[in-house]
Amino acid sequence: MSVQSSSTLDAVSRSRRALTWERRRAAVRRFWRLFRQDRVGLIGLAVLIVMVIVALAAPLLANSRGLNVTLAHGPLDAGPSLSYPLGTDTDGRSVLTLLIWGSRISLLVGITATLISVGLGAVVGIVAGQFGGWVDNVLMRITDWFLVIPFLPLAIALAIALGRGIGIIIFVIGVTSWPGTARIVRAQALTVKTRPYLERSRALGAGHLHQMVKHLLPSVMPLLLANTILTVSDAILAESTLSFLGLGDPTRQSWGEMLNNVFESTGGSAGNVVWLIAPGTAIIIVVLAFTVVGHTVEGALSPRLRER
Amino acid sequence: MALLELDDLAVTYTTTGGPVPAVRGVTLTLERGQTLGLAGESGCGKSTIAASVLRLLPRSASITGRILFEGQDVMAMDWGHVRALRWAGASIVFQGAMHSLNPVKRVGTQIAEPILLHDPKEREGAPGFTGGERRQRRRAADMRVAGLLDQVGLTAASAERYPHELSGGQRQRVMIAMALACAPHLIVADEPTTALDVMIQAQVLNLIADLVAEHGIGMLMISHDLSILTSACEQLAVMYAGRIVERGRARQVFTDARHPYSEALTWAFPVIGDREARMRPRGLPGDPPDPAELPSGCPFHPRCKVAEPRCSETDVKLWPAGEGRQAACVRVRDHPAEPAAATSSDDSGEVVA
Amino acid sequence: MSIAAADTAAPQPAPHPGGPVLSARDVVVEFAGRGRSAARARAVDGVNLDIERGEIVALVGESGCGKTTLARTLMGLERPAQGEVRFRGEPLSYRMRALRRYRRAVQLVLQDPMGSLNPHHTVYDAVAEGVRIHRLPDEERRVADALSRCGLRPPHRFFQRYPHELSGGQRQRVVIAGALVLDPVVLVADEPVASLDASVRGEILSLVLQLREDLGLSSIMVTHDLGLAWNIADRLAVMYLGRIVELGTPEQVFAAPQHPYTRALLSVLPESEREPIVLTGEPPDPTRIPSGCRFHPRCQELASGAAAKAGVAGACTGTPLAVLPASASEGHAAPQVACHLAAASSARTPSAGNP
Repeated sequence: MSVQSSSTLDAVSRSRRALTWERRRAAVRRFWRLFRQDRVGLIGLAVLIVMVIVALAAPLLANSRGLNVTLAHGPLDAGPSLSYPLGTDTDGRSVLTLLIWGSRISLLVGITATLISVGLGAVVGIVAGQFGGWVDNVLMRITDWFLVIPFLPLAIALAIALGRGIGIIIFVIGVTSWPGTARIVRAQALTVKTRPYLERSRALGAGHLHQMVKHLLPSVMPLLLANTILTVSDAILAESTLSFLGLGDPTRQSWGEMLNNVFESTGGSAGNVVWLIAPGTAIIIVVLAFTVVGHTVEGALSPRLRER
Repeated sequence: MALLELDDLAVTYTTTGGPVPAVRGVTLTLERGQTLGLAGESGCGKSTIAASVLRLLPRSASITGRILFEGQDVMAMDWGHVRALRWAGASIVFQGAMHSLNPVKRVGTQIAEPILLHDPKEREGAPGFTGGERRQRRRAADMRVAGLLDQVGLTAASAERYPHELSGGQRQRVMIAMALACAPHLIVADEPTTALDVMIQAQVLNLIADLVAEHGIGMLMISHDLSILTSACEQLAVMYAGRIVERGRARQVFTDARHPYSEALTWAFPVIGDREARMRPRGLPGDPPDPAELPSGCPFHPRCKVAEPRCSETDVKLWPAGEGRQAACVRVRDHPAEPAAATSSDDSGEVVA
Repeated sequence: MSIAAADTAAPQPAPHPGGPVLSARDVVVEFAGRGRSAARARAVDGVNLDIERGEIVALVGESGCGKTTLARTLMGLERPAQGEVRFRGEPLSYRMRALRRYRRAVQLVLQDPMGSLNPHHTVYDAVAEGVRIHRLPDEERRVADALSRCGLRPPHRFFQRYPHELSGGQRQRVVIAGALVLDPVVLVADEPVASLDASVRGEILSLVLQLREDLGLSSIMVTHDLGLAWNIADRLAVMYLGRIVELGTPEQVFAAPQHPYTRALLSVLPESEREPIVLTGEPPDPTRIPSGCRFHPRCQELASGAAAKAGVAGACTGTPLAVLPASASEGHAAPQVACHLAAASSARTPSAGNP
């Protein structure tokens, strides 16, 4: 059997790679078929796609000069009109322009903070599950500690200590929101760890890294994906909260920042009601969309897990 | 009237990939006090038969043919009768006792459950019960549980235990006690000793044998291990691809199988001390056929060592293969009295008409 | 523990190429008991065992007798509290690097082939795992070789399959191929056929025999199935509560079992012609090993008075038995048995084994 000519071997290995890709494409198709069955999830997805396009195309849709107080020439605190579809704020800036540019910051902060949070949570969870013993104990005590300290006071303290900036906001949200992910990942890792295939892997001589990367990580992946999408909405909410409280980056417009402006300059009784409502509505819509998509992804992934 | 009668039973599962026939025309009869072993590989339909007797099949299964339990058509029964059948008439002992017991309830409570549940007075919501009567009924049930535990060789104190506090063999006994709780006439045992040690297996088989003998219960035992079925049952039926391919007295089938498939199964469990089996494990090459795409003719022919060209064309059915036996093999049809093992070089004229 | 560890092991000769591939010397494995105050459980309580090159040894006993723990210890997955595991005469080192090298040579096959394969990995990935861990060249050729050796031919037809698309027998072949891909010298199999269909059983056992023939592979078969031992084992070790109580060739042990426990095990086989001796009760608890002979609370010879007649009843309940030596290197000599009654009767009639 070992006398296989190298050319046939090459052919086999090329087709093997092709087959692997074919497998992956089939898995994606299967996932999409299940996802498509959920109407609400599809609407959520459409909303998200529109939001992302708007955020990416902001420079084309609205002139960034409209964000500058000194360059804005609109009427002050006026209701919707033809040239200002959502009216203006007390500085004469178009609310629509603010909303469009705000989506960039909100999504950026939401997604980056989530990557930090989920990354940290996944590493802590998998390491704790894999090593067990005192490593697990120490990591879980730290996780508990982060889990019980209330988010806002910590975020406020950190923002005051480290200064106000978009990087700080991302960091603060990232380091405070990972414990939930870590706990879920650890629980899953612990169940997978008892499977005989990990014992087989150890008996083959696999080290901790191999076991974690080849066996634990793939098994927590679906969980992580769904969790990531759900965390984005938490992070967007957190960013809005911090900005609303005046702890955001004052040089950039986010939806939270807009809310903060409305209340600081008018005390919540703006002449342009749309200005008051728009940022909050945008936040709610995006958060809902992420949540709905997250749940649909979870639902579409879990039957496949059960089936295997 | 027979205890259990299957008449040309066929079960087909409807799946997304099309209909899958799991059982394809099985006819068998079981009298009270009789024991019948049903053998075969996984996927041959033996567990489907067990489930169909108690109407435990999923909705996706369509059934033709008849299942008569004490003369009553199981398929035509209304829900109330099915409930009564499941405990009082026939009960089932599954494999894997750990998963069939509720981990957070004491075993005594679990055994008492069917007793209280199937008491007709209890089911009507029992408005007329006073507290005293209820306590009395409880006490009666507790007594019955203690009696059942004693029957299966456990102490009455084990009623207070939780399933995880018992060993595998003890849990299997609890399952048997539950099956006996309402004094059924038929016990269906689906791989009752799989995953048990030899010694525990012997204990459980002894227990089942005693119960059958003492109470005249009929038993249908399902396993892939022919040697266990042979020691526990009088009659044996070997299934392949949804049909019975051989049946007869257990010992006869085991020692002198007429169908090549039964023969292969007997080889799988060597008789210790048998020189021929020493250092010569024998199995059956190939895999059981996909029920959705059965081979033509005799479904066993692709794996059969003695297959002939006609095997892929001739439709096989059970032919008489000597006294009280039948086998579904064309060679048996041609030579009803000749053992399948001896590959006919000698005269085949001595056919018992 | 009251069990004397003295005079248990025969003086060990210097390692020589003809010696056993793998051996256990006075191995004791302990586990912390449940709860704070619980006693430590001695899952393996002094075992000597040699496995020669190309030899198949069956380790039989009830669940909880320590056979799986012993197998895991031989694999280096458990560390003995006392005694040592020797590979080619060298004591096993538990340093990471040494263990990794050891695990190329000694491979594990588990009972449940479905569970031993990661459901997300294809057959190719599963078999290639060992090659990747040890960073060996020619990955694809090795995988193809191992698969076809295990009867999965042509191998590349199986590369892209997932475990749930295979039959039980094919899955176990994949697991064995995953072990073979590293060219091991010893295969440790824990109930390799217990969860397989009857028809597949013989096929897998034939494969093990074939591998011994072709590659000189030694095997340890952990099982509660005595038929398996009769089918393929060169030697048989019967374990009870952490000790080997009888050791010999299947012919010797099955024809004339010396230990009452072995006799009981054999008598309850469905095909046995002996009067069945059904031991009552479950195997006792390794946290509380009985004094004297560890089998005495369940021993039918003691209960029937046969031990008392031979004058060893006192010894049965009071005098601990020595750990059996690993006899393999002296060729297949007389079977070893740890029983006061058997010792007494063979002392009276030196030639006859069976009392």
